[in-house]
Amino acid sequence: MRKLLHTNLVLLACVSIAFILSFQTPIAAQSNPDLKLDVTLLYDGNVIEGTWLPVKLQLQNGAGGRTVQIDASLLDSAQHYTQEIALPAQSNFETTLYILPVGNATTLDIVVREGERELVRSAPSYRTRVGERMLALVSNEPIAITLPARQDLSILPFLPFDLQVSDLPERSQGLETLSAIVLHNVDSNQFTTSQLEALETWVKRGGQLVLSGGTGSSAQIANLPSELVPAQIVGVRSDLPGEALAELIGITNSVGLQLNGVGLQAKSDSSILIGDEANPLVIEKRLGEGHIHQLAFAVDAPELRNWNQSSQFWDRFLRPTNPDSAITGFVGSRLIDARERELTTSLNNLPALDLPSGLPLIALLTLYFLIVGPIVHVVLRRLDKQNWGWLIIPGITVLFSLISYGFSFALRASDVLVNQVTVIEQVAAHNQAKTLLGFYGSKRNEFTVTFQADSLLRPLRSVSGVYGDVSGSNGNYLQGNPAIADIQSNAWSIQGIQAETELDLPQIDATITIQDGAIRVRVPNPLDQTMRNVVVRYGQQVVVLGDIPPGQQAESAWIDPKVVDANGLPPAGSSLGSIIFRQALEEGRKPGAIPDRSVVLKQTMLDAVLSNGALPQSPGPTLVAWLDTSPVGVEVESNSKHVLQATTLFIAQPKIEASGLVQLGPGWLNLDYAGNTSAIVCSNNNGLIGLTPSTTTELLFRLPNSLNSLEASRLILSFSSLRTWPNAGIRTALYNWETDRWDELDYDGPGDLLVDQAKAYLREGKVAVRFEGRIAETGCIFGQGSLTGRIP
Amino acid sequence: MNLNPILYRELRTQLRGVRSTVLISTFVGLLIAALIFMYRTINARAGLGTPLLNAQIGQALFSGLALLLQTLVVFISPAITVSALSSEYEQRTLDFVIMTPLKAERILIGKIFAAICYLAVLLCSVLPLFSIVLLFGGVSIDDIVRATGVVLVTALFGITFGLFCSALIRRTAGATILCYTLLIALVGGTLFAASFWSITNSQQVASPRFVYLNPLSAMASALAGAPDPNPNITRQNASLITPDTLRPMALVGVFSQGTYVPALSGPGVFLIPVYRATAILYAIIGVGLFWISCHLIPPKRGFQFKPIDIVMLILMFALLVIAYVWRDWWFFMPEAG
Repeated sequence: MRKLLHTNLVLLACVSIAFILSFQTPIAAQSNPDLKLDVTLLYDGNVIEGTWLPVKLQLQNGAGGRTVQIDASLLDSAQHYTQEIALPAQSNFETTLYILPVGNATTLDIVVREGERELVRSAPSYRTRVGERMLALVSNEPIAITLPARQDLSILPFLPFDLQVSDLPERSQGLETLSAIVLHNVDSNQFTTSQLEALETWVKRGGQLVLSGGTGSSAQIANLPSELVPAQIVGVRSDLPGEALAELIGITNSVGLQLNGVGLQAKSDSSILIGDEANPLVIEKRLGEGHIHQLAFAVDAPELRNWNQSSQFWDRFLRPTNPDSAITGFVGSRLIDARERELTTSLNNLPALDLPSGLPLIALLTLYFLIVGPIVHVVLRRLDKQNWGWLIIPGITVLFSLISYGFSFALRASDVLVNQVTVIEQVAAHNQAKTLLGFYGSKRNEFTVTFQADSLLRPLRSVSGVYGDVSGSNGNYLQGNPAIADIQSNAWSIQGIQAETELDLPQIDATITIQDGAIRVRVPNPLDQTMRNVVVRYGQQVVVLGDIPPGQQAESAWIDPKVVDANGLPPAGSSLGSIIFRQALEEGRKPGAIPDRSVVLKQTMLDAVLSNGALPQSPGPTLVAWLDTSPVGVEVESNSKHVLQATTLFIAQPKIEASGLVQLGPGWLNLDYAGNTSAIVCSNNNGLIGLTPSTTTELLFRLPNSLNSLEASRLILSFSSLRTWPNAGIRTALYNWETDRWDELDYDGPGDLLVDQAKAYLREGKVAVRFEGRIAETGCIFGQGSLTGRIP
Repeated sequence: MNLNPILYRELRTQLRGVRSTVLISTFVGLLIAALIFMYRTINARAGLGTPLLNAQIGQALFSGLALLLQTLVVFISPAITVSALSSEYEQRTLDFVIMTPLKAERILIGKIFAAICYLAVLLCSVLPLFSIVLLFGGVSIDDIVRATGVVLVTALFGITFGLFCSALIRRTAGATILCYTLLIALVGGTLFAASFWSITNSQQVASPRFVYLNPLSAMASALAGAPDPNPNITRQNASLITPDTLRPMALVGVFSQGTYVPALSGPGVFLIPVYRATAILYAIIGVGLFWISCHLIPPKRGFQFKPIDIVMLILMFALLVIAYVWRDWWFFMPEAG
């Protein structure tokens, strides 16, 4: 009997243990007959380091309707990119997940779960590339283009991919890994609206879009946004002289290359890159930090393929014009990454504590002081019981201690600081918001951050700061709308997340009007909140418009070009943050003073967003405003009381409209640091930025693109130098665009170079100056210009 | 209950009169005023410079209060006993006490315990003020125990020292002058010596031995053991602390000369727990002063062997043995290499 009981007990124990374990161990399924998963990594799994990798997932649901969670992570990583999908019964579903590969992992771990139950798993491999040009060739059939082989290049080898229009991602982040996209004979009706928006955003962030010419080019550009089309097609051509292509790679007097294609007429905001007005071969348009090149010929033209310099041409043509601002950077360094790192650094300017009011406690202590001192003495003396003081005083002390400690415990302040910085950049009709959240506390905390807009979430970039390293939080990043991050942060270091959101905001039609010798700026506010401390800038000139309430506009005269003094302006090349906040920052640097953290935060944010790497910031025009609340809609929940500081920066680019007489003082015609690719940037002790000269130095000055059609009548170029300007042995010349020659001028530098008949020296907003001889002795040349002219 | 009659008499008379009320009110009032000042200063700079966390504010307030409390105790505790015997001499009441069977040591013990009770009331009365530290946190039980220990040891030493001066000089004015002159030398003179040595030795950090007897340096070393509530920093024996972690403790830094030495490798400093040496030395000196005071009370001075001398001898010997055996605990320097 006892033996039977013992056996039954053992059996029961085994069954119980098995039952419990069945809950502990998830049922791992390598494949599930009811659910099939196909994973395709775009670009064959190749991705430039630090950029997003789109992962296309096709789910075949053979069962009833269900909600599944897709979880993708890098192998051995604590950061998970997730999506939640409602699968109808017996359906196929396609979605794209965006992963950010970091570190040394080369394999993704993709799991599809239903609740806690794992349905299917996949482990595709990917490869991180550094310093390569990933080229998307978008066409209905493979393009035969003669690219240089990897072994024939010393840097920046090509990695081409043949894609169809349907392969292109719907988010611009999915294109970030590409340095150039070539569209060849595609029907623009095939693009979705999201794909076109993604393409435009990608170009503005530094991408190079190439529109192939040839027979199918009309259908290709028919439905593309006008922003993406630099030129109109005017007829068919069969006699395009190809020699100009050879000039791009430094080969002169090349003959025999004739191309078939189309005729192009550049739009007002475009210029001829290769060719001339009679035979334009390539029209270029600068859009944001990127370029669009429209070709008059097809990229796979047989004549081009048979040309023995073809691969050299493509190498040169598809090399970033400004490597610092190119979307994929130069040999692994991306300007976008550098800007985001600087923006992440701004999170170190943590908010002030939400300090509890000490008044109730101090009032209580003051009452205690009165009681334990004079009142007790008076009462006991009246009663003639002073000896009772030995008991009464400690008794009162204990009572008040209990009350005050209870009070303090109840009023205990938050000990978690949350810093939220949002930057909204509006370029044309697009608004892209970048939101960074940093969490800092004295113990480990958990947060749920919800973004009420379709956002891509990622961990913060790693930078160092006042509180040690700033780094990304581990946890789950749910993609979609809303996007939710469930994350943890460790004690005593700033950790957090970053979100990229495409916003639907009304466009701000800010305008700088140059007319009849006067300049005015107008900024309307179509937003639903006040734009604060609005500033418009071009070069070193800044106009402060103050606060603009919603629905209203502000207007102001620009700095009078007749009276503006170059010496009174901030040094050329100064950052906008240092210009706007100069006074506040100087106050904070005085002996014994402490800088206001909110000022430091704003200056850091502004300069991070406009940073141009080793080069000075772009001169603009730029509109800067601060908003009280972020339009992104961010909610932070945590298990601890926290204090949140949110700072929202809004940046847009005003248009410049000019007509009639135009007078531009110093600060409008500036050195084109990016365009002077042969010279190195240098500076003096006052922060003035110039270029390092060599024996022959060519300097390019540039006006804003909108003034490309300006015809100059009078031109003044002012030069100074770091060291003494030699009083002899320097030849000075200006490039004459009409004769295609350098005209030597008499110039006794440093100082003003005055040119009264200046029409020939200004073309498409550019003035070129050349110094030859002892100019290198100057050490560093600083220059700026002013001019008078007319817009025909 | 066979209570010490001196103690009994003191307990009955000490809280009479305005003096005790003024002392308690001044004690508590000064600390409340300091608290309000510190809180408002911190509040005013909350938005400027490097942001502070609650824990750092709590530490700053705790340090400020503890240092001020220690300063008050240093000067008030001798004041309680500096007139204990000399006033009896001046009022010629001590002769009557001596004529009783009470031995000198019982008289002294009675005076000491009465002073302890009075000081206990004073110290208890400031307990509610430290609740503001709970508002912000950042201070652990260890820190509170350390700081309390330093205050109590200082108070005991001050009481004994005041009593000694009172027994030695037999005039209140003279005893007070002697007492406070020596105290100023103890507090200011030792720091001056450490700073002077440092200045004349290429700004090297002075040896902690200069400040072993300084009560404020003892408190500074006890407080600096909690510079940064970073769990990665251990606080066993000597702690490796970077100069940054002392930053919230500007007040502490003033008295920290000699309480830290540079780390032998890498950045940072070694914290020397000077308060341990202070406790040991105060105990030895205090017992010695008590012993001497026992021989100063009788009208005819001069050494006469008494049974108390055997007890004192044993006690002193025991303290010296403990000090020697535990020398690594209180008398150490960071190991080279």
